[in-house]
Formats: sequence, structure tokens, C-alpha cells
Amino acid sequence: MASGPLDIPLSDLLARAARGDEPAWSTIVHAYTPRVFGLVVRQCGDRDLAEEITQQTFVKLVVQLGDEQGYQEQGRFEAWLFRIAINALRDELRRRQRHARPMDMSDADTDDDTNAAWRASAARVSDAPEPLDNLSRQEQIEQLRQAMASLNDADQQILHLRHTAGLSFPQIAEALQQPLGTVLARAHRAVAKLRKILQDQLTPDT
Amino acid sequence: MNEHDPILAPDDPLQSLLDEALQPVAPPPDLAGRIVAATRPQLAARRRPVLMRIGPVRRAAMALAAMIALAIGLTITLRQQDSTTHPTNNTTVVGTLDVETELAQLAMLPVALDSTIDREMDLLRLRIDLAAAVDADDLTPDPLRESILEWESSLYTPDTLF
Repeated sequence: MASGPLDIPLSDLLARAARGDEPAWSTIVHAYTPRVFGLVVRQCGDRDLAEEITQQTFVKLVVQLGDEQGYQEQGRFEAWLFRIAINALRDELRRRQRHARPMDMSDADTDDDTNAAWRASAARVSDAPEPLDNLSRQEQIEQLRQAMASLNDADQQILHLRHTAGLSFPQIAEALQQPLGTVLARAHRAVAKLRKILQDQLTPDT
Repeated sequence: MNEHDPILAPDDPLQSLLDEALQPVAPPPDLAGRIVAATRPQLAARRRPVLMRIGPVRRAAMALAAMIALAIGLTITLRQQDSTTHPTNNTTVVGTLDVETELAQLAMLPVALDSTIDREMDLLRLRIDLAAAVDADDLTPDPLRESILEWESSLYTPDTLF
């Protein structure tokens, strides 16, 4: 799902971009930059870092596009694109050794003060002014973001890939290089946790 | 956003809440343009021919390999010319001359006149007589003279006369 409908089929754009066609490449960049940036900034909570990672992602993309050992168009472009972005963010966070940790799938159930601070930072990211006539809805959203912050990294990542990047579950599984069943189980568990937290927080006192 | 979500039903309130809460944060308006500008060199590289995309080190190695192959080929060619071409030419010239002389003499035999053959035989006989006169004082058997006399006598047998 691009930010806007593409007038030209994606496969044609990719083929032209692989031959160095700048208009085709520009169309791809403009179509996917919002989603890549949106995902990265949700994950790291740092707009400057998200800009840098987004740019790195597209630099890697153009280098590998059409190469024998790079991407070959098989209808899996989005999964490949977001995998590049996820890996770039993880590598950059490791390199910087910041408090904001990379998405570590091995210790997905751990929690500590650093992780909590990072989640809180990510949850604070908001891009729309709060409409006065929708205050309760906005409050629900803030409650949901806080509930999201209590999830482990892997569960958050799956929900971000699903609802921020707009990937299907097979695409998420491919981007994370995990079995589809594992991804579905994590998503189901994350939603169940969220539902319980929201019920506790949003349901009127009983 | 997710019309066929196996986790959340389309009418689940949490579905729309998640979509709204996690919607992408808008990037800076000029970010895509900056990315296009930043990736312009890499994009231009894609327009170069395949050979031009090869790195300088690998290109130098390929050129060196080509030069070595060319040098080996030239050496083999020159050695073949030295060992076969020139001797073959010399032999051919000398051999050709010898063969031509022989062929000319053979071609003349069938048409030679009897007088010519007689004259040749007379000259040969004279040379034998001269050789015999020189060696007249020598009484030791001379294999050469005996073979010459034997050959001379064979010329006058009826079977060998024309």
C-alpha cells in the first residue's frame, strides 16, 4: 500500500528505476517515504534518526535494485523494503549504543527502565493536533499508545508493521524472516494484551 | 486499513483505534526530494554500461589478464613461425629445384635420339677407358673398376640393347 495510488504498475517502475530512470525512481521514493519514515519514527521515537534511516534505506534500495544478488521483482517489494528499513534501524541503534534499543527478538519478553523509556518516547510521537470535538476519542488513542508501550518489542514491531506500514501478515513474516504462524501468534497475543489493558482503563468503573 | 485481518474483525472498535493511533507520522515535506537528490549518483551509476560498473581494481585485474593472454598467444605464434615456416620454405625451394631437374631429364629420355644416347655412351666409355689407363700399373683388384667393367659389359648384352 503506497501513500497514494501509483499510475504505473510497481513492477514497471522498478524495472525502469533499475535502468536508472529518475522519474520512475522519484515516483517510488515519494510513494514509500511516508510509510518507511512513519514506521521508523514509531519504532525509535526520533525524527532525525528516522530521516537518516529512511534515506539509508533508499540508498541501499537503489544500489541493490535489479542486481543479480539484489532484489528481483517477484511481487515482494514491500516486504523487502521494510526489511531493509528494520535492519538499518537495528544496525544504527547498535552502532550508536543509545538508550533506545534495537528491536531484539531474542529477549522479546524482557523489560527494563531503558526499554520503558524508549517505549514512552515512541508513544509520545503524535502528528495531529487534538480536535476539541473528539477529545474522548483522542483520549482513547492516548490510552492505546500507553498500552502499546507496555508490550514487548517484538509485539510492538508486528503491530507497527501491520497498522503503520500497512503490510499483510505474510509480508510481515517475510520482512521479519519468521514463520507466518509465529507472526500471527504474536499479533494475536499483542491484541489480546491491548484489549485487556484498554478494558481495564476505558471501561467505566464497575 | 486491514479489511481482512485474521486477528481483528473489521467491525472491532480496536481495529479502527489501532489504525488511528498507529497511523504513519508524516515525514518532513522535503524528505522524499532530498532522498531522490541524495541517491542521484547511485541512480546514474545504473545507467552506465555493465562493464563500466566494474570496480577499478577488478577492471585492472581483467586488463592485466588480457595482456598476459595476448603475450602468451603472440609468443606461441612467433615460435611456430621460427621453427616451421622458414625451414619449410628453404627446403621447399631446394627440393623444388632438384625435382624439377630430375623431371626435365626424365621427360627427355623417351624422345631422345639414338645418336644422343650413343654419344652419351661413348663419353661414358671414354671416361672408363681413361680411368682404366690411369690405373693400368696397379695390379691390385679394384672393386670400382670391376664394377664399371661389369656394368659396361651389361650394356652390350642383347637384352639391354635398344
